[in-house]
Amino acid sequence: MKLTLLFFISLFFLPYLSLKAQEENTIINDTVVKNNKYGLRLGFDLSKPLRSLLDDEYSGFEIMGDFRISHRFFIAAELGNEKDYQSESNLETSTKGSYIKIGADFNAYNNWLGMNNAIVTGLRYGFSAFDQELMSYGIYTGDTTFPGTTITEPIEYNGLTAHWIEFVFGVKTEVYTNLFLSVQLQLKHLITEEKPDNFDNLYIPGFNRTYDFSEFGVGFGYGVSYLIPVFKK
Amino acid sequence: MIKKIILLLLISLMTNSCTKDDICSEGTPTTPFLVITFKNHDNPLFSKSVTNLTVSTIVDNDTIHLVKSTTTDSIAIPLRTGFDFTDYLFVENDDNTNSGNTDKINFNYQRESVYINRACAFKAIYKFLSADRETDTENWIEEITVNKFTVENENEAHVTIFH
Repeated sequence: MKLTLLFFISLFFLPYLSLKAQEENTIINDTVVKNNKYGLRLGFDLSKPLRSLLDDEYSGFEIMGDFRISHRFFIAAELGNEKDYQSESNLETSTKGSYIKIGADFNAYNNWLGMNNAIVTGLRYGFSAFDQELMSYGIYTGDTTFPGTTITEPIEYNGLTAHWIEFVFGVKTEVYTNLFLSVQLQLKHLITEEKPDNFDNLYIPGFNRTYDFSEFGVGFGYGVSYLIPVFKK
Repeated sequence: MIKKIILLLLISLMTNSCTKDDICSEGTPTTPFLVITFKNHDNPLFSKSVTNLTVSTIVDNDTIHLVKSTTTDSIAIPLRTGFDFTDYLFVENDDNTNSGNTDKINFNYQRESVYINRACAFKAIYKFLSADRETDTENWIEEITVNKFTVENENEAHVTIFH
C-alpha cells in the first residue's frame, strides 16, 4: 500500500516535468538537420531502493540500459537483485536472487523536433536464479477439535530458476538534457520455473509474486537514466 | 495521450489488489479425516450400525465429543497433526439412561506435510497407520482392522471396526 501511494505521488510530478522539458526544448535552433540522438542510456530504478528504505521486509535494486538502433527501436536490458519476505496467513517465506531481462523497446510517440520523449512498448525475456527459504508453515485442517500445528523449522531451497516473457508499457520523458525519467508497467507471463519439491515459488526476483491459479505476474518500474550520446542522425 | 496512459497504468494497479489466492477455498482437499466403518463381527460383509455411539477424546483435560449418542455405521474423525498418535474413546449405547460400554482405541501413524497452495499452505497425510483397542473386561469392539495404511484422502474407509 505504501508503495502504491508512493507511486501515485510520483506520478503527479511527471506531467509537470514533461511540460518543463517541452518548454526548454522548443526554443532550440531552427536549422536542425541531425537531431535524433543515438547512444547508450544507463540508469537505475528509483522505486526499489526507496522501497528498501521504507520496507523492512524488502531490499532490492535494478540497473537498466538501452541502446537506440533505429528511429523507433531500442535494445533494452535490466539487471537486478531482490530479497523479499512473503507473509501469508498460513506460511512465511523469504526469497533472494538475481535476475536479468533482455529485449527491445519500441517508441510509439512522434516527437516534435528536438524532443526525445517516448511512449514505450517493449518485450523482454526474463531469467531469474534464486534461493527460497520456507521459514514456517501451518498444517491446514478443517478440524477444530485439536490445536493447530505450526512448523517452524526452516527449510532452504537453493538453485531455483524461472524464465518468463514480459510485456512493457511506459512513458519516458527527458527532464533535462540527456536525463530521463520513466514510468513503466510490466505484464509478465511465466514460461517455465524450477519449483522446489513439495513447495512452490511464491516470489521470483524480477517477476514478483506468483499466483496459484495463473501464470501471469505484474510489476512496475520508475526509473531515472542518463543518455550518453554517441552520434546524431 | 500521456494522460490516458497514466490513467490506464493507475487502473491496472488498482485492480491488482485482491485475488483468490488469499483465502483457502472450501473445496480444496486439506488434511484428511480418518474414515471408520462399522461391520458385523459375525457376518463381516455387512455393515452394522452402532446404537447411540459416542466418540470422544481428551484435549487439555477437557473431554470433547466428536460424535454424541448417534446411531451410525460410519464416522470421520480427525487425527492430531502435531503428534504421532491420537487416542479416542468409543462408547456404545450411550444415552440418557445408560452410561454405555466404553472401549479405548489408540491410533498410531507417521505424519508427512504436503504442500497445497499459497492460501492453504500445507496439509498432513498419515502413513503406517495402526489401530489398537485396549482390552478390558467387556469389550464391545471385537476386532479392529486397518484397510488403508496411508490416510491421504477421505474416499474410502481407512479402518473397519467389527462388533
